[in-house]
Formats: sequence, structure tokens, C-alpha cells
Amino acid sequence: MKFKIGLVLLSVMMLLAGCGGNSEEGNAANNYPERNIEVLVGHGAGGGTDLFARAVTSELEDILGVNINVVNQEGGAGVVAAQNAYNAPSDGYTLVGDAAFPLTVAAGTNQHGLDDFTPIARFQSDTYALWVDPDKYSSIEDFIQAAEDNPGEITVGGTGSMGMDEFTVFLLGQEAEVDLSFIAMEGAGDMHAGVIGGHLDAMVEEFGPAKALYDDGSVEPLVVFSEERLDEFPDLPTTVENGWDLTDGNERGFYIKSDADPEIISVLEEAMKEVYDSEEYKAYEEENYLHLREGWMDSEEFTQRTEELIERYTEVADELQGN
Amino acid sequence: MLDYLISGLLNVVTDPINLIMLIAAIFIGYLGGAIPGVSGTMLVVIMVPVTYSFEPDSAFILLTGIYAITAFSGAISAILLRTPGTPEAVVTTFDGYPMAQKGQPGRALGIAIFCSVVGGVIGTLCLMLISPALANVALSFSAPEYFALAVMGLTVVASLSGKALAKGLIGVLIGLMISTIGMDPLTGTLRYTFGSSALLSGIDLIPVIIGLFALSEFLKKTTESHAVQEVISNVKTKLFEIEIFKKIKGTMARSTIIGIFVGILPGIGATTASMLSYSETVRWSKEKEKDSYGKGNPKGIAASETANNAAAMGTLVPLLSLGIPGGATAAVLLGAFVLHGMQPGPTLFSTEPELMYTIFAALLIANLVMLIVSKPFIKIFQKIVNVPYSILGPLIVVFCVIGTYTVRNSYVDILIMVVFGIIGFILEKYRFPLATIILGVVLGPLTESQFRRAVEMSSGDFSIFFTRPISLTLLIISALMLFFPLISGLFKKRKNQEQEG
Repeated sequence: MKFKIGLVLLSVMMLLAGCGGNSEEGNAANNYPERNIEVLVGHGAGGGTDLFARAVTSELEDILGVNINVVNQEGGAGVVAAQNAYNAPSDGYTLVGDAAFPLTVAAGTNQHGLDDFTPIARFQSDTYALWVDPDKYSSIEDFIQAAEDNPGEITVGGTGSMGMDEFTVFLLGQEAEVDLSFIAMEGAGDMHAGVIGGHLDAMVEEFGPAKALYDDGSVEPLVVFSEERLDEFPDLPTTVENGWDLTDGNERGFYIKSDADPEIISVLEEAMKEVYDSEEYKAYEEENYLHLREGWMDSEEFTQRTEELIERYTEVADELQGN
Repeated sequence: MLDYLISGLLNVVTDPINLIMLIAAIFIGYLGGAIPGVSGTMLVVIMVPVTYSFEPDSAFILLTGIYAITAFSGAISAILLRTPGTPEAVVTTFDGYPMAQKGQPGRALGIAIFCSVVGGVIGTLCLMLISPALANVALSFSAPEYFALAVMGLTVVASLSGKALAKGLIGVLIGLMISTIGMDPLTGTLRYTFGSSALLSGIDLIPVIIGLFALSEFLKKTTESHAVQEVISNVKTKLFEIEIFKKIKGTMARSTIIGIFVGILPGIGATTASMLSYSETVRWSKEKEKDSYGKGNPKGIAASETANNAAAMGTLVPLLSLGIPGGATAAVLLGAFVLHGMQPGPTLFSTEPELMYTIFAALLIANLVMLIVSKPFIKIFQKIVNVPYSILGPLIVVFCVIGTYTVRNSYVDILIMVVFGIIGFILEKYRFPLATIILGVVLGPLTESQFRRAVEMSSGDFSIFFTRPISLTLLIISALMLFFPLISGLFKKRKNQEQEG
């Protein structure tokens, strides 16, 4: 008899547990996150986008109270990571950290555009400059003059092909109406060595990675790709001053699959804002010269921005690939 | 300078926290490096955030210590399981594994350790003493010189393939073809991807290596007769054997120079350095000895292990003296310097001499400590060879899969690894020299992209390869080396005929 009562009790408990499971599932968004989150980064360990993702997630872990693992899935400037994130369930536990999302969508290598992914937040709008050996060129006028005198022979290095660096050099040539020769380098290392060693005339690079070389005088920026002059470099002219409509840079942020629960997206967005405002993140920003332009955009602004960028880069990609 | 070094050494040894960091670095580096798929870069990336709250000297003792140890520890599984634990140890499998199979795993590991220590210590000394001069040499290299260097490496295919020159050529061409898969590095054109986004970034070296060497070996062993394995007992681990040392000392000297030199070139790295060093070692050997490479020649192990450790130290030269990250790990270390509020570059030596010399001291100690701690490690590891293959074999396959997956967290890579396992199994049956395929895969991207980069730099003018002194010299040397065997063969024939006459 006791055994039967026990059995009945057990089945009641199992029934209740079953119901519990159901009701919990209904409120998945309320309890988000309940387990570890993965952030897929389509760039190698140690690069700008990887360091960005790691800097943000280490703060985000404390706020959300779960572990966040950065998983590097190199390939195609972020395309491989996006593809893998797309194949993962839309439960909010797989995010993408990317810098080249609009570009890869525009170039057609990334099949999953804004229909499949929703931007959660933008953290950085990194700033490019054109860097040269100061013994070779003293001003941007000097450089452009040299490019006009030797069409197609002035070499500008950047990392990788069909990425932000190549687009930037292509646009610079268009805006300044000169024929520059873009050289796709292996990575930052051989690009920097190329400029210092005199094998390249110039390079496009962000301020953080170029700072050490600037400090010891081996490279100088000629022009910064921005609307306004920088407080740190008041004598450095801008592209806009020169009449060139070119202020693009790597915009680093996080993306999630579009069919994820909107509540999850807003939980992440809020937590990310908290990271962005934290002292630790601000310190990281300043150490790496990422504070030159305001980085933050919330999901709505960033989505709109991404839409505009895809449109802009689609035109550029068509022209570039037509060459 | 000497007083800086001594205070650096004291700082590492006498400060308890620093000492703990060094021991931790050795432990992490040993285990991490020995596990296939966990590379030195990965370990350093994981440890950087951990070191954020440390004092800079403790932090860099830990990071650079791990870096120095993993340059060696990948050799352990390369020798015992034919599965390189890190990419740098790829070439060590060529001769290390056959030697272990001949019943001398202890000797193979001993040679690897001794050579790693020598390469690492001399590399560190060069880093400490002549960094600025070396950095200037590195700066005089650009695309044409890189290309010429790669060509020089490729011309060794003739000696690597022994008597089967045709098979060797097929092998190297297969390797070169594999290296073209993926997104073209200069124009972004897709090649051999067949619409698969997983192939966009090409075929990674690790799945190819693990497939060709480790998995194919497993397939071979399982198809062999199941006779009871002879138990290798009483293996003496000798780190230093005078007769072996006499044999390999020339190789070690040459490999140290090649290692440091290739290491300082930004973007080339220790794997390529050990491949080039192996090529040169085969090339410089006596004709009758050439056949013994790939079959357990101690010089093969020495070439790879001396060069990769020397190159690992060489990679730090452009980082510390110019602020240029020469490789992936160097880029992570650069980030770590920034994290601690410092900028690597020429100024760092004058602003932070204590830290610099503490790092040098830690590198020296980490390299030397390998000699002491390795012996007990080897004693444990070499027992692996006596584990029955019915147990060891499946374990190796598990390691193959994990090791391949962790490199890029990609399932497709596992598939690629299996495909190459089958290819390797078939090719070895027909006695193809597998090393030639690796030669192609390692040097292919360098050859192609640097050639095209050079031509782009010169706006399509091919004379760029012949008007630059270093590039011209390297190309002449490779041409001489390619034709020397043919010419010397002719001379020998004539001489013989004369003598007969």
C-alpha cells in the first residue's frame, strides 16, 4: 500500500515537474540568461575585433552573471562566424562580434544580411589615418602631388583583401582623384615593417596599433578620416577639410539572429550599455585610442546605420569588383 | 647591461610571486603544448586577462614563459603519437616519430629537448644583445625577398623526395594546390570553395598535418596484423649523448641561425622557420645520408626543434625593438603591454629596463629549466609507446578530432582531417614522401602572395626580383642549389670515366 501511495505521489510530482518545465519555457526571456553565452568572432585571436569582444564580454559576464565564451572562427572577414551563428538556434545564447558586417553583406560574401541578423549595439567607431614615413612625405598635399605625378605607382598598404582597408584606400583614391595602388598585406606586422622599411609609400591604420611607431617618430599621420580634428592631434588635417567625403572606419558591435526573442535583445542591449559606461571599458578605450569618436549606438540606431552602410558599400563593392 | 640581467634574474628567482608565475608558466606550457589543438597563442590569449591585476613583471614572466615552453612542448606528441601538439612541431614528426617507433622514444625526446634549449637560449641571447641590428635586417626584407626565401625552400623538394623525384614533385604540387584553396589573399577571388563558406579561409595546416600523419598512421596500424606488440623496456632517456651531439652539432648551429633569421621577419613564424631549416639540413647532408631523412635521422629532429625555438625568440625582436608584432602571439603580447600601460618599441628599453631584463631572464630560465623538468615528464610520456595499440589507437583518434576542432572551432575541419587521413593512408602505401606535401602547404601561401605582392608593388615589373640585392642573391643561391646536384653528378661521372680510362 505504501508503495502504491509512493508511486502516486511520484507521478504527481512528475506531472508537476512537467508543468513547471512548460511554464518556465514560456518565460525563457524573463530568466535570460540561464546558461553560458557564446560570442562568435570571425577574426583571429589577438586582433582588434577579438580584443574588443574580449574586453566587452569580461565586463558583460559580471553584469549578466553567466560565463561568456569568445570563440574565434576565422574566415572571410567574419563570414564564417556569421554563417555558424545563423545555423545555431535563435535562443539568444549565440552572438556575433563583428567589425565588417555591412561590408561582407555588401560584397555578397555574407549571405545573411539584416533579414537574418539584428544589430544589438555598436561599441566602437574606430578612426583611420593615412600614415607615412615622415622623411618621405611631409604633408597630405605632398602625398597627393606625388600620386598625381606617378599615377598607379604610389603604394598604400592595408591588411587583407576586400576588407575595410581596401575599401578605404579605394574611396580615398576616388575622392582625391588620384590613382593609388592598394597592396594587401598579410597583417599589421608586415604592413608596419613595409612602411618603416621603405617598401610601401603609406598605410591605412587605426591610431591604437600605430601609436608605438608614432611615439618613436618612425611614422606620421598625414590625414585623419573624420569630420572634425582630433583633440589629441590638433594639427592633423581631416579628410572632410580637404573636401573628401570619407569618414568610414571599422564599426565594432554585436549582432544576434533576428528571430531571437525581442526581450532577450533588450536585456543584452541594456547590459551592454552598462558595460559601455563602465570605468573599465572607458580605460580600455583610452589605452587603445578608441575614444576618438563616440562609439555607442543602441540597437535601433545601429540597425539604421548598418542599413545605410550596406547601401553605401554595395556601390563601392560593385565599382571595386568591376575593376 | 650585465648588472641589469643579474638583477633581472634575481627578480625572477627571489620574488616568490614571480617564481610561482614561472613555475605556472612551465606547467601550463608543458601540458597545453603537449595537447594537440592547444597552441601557444591560444594559451597566451587565455592568460592575458588573468594577468590584468598582476604586477607587469609577474604578468610577463607568465606570458613569455608559456610562449617559450610551448615552442618545445608540441614536440612531445609529435614524436610519440605523430600528432604535433602545436603547429611549430609539425616538422618534428618527420623524423621524431620514426625514431620513437624504432624503439628510441627517449632518445628522440632527448634530442628534441636538448636542441630546443640550445635554440631557445641562443635565440634569447640574440634578442637581448643584438635586437636593434636584427630589426634593421628584418626591415630590409619585403615581398621580393620573402618570395626568394620561399623559392629557396621549395627547391629542396629534389632532396626531400629521395629516389622518387616524380612522386616528390607530385607531392609538393598537391601541397601548393591545397594552399590555393579559399579566398585569394590579394583580390578576394574565391578559389575551389564550391560555394561553401567553410572553405572561405582556406584549408588550415593543422587538419592536413593531423590527417596525413596521425590519422593515416592509425589506419595503417589497424590494417596491419595484430601480432602482440613488442614491449620496449629499459629505455634510457639521455638528454645529452656525446656521439649524437657530434652528429648534430653542425645542424644545430645552422638551424639556430636560420631560426633566428626567419623568426625576425614579420609574419613568417616558427613553423616556416623549422620547415626551411629542415630543408636546408637535408640539402647539406651527404648524398648517401639523404635517404635516411623521414626514417628517424637525429639531424631531422635537431633541425626542426632548434629552429622553431630560435624562431620563437626571434619573433620577439621586431616586437621589442620596433613595436611591430611579428606573429600572432607577438600581437597578443603587444596587447598585453598596452593593457599594462606600456608601448613596446625602441623607447621601452630606456623607460623600462628592469622589466625588459626581467623578461629576458625569464625567457632564459624557462628555456634552461626545460633541461631539468623534462626528464620526469619524458619518463611518464614515453610509457605511452608501451600502451597496447588497441587502447592507444582510439585515443589518438580522439585527440586528432579534438585537436583539429579546437584550432578554429570548426566541424568542417574535422571532415577535412578525415579526408586527408584517407589520402595519407593511400599515398603512404604507394611510398609517397608525405613531407613534400607539407613543404607545399607551408610555403605555398608565402610563395604566391609574396610574389604577387612584389609585382603589385612594382606596378607589374618583374625586374623587382633581380634589382634588389638580397632578393637577387637568394634567387641565385636557389638556382645554384637546384642545379648543383645535376652538375656535380656530371662532374663525378667524368671523373670516374677519367679514372677508369
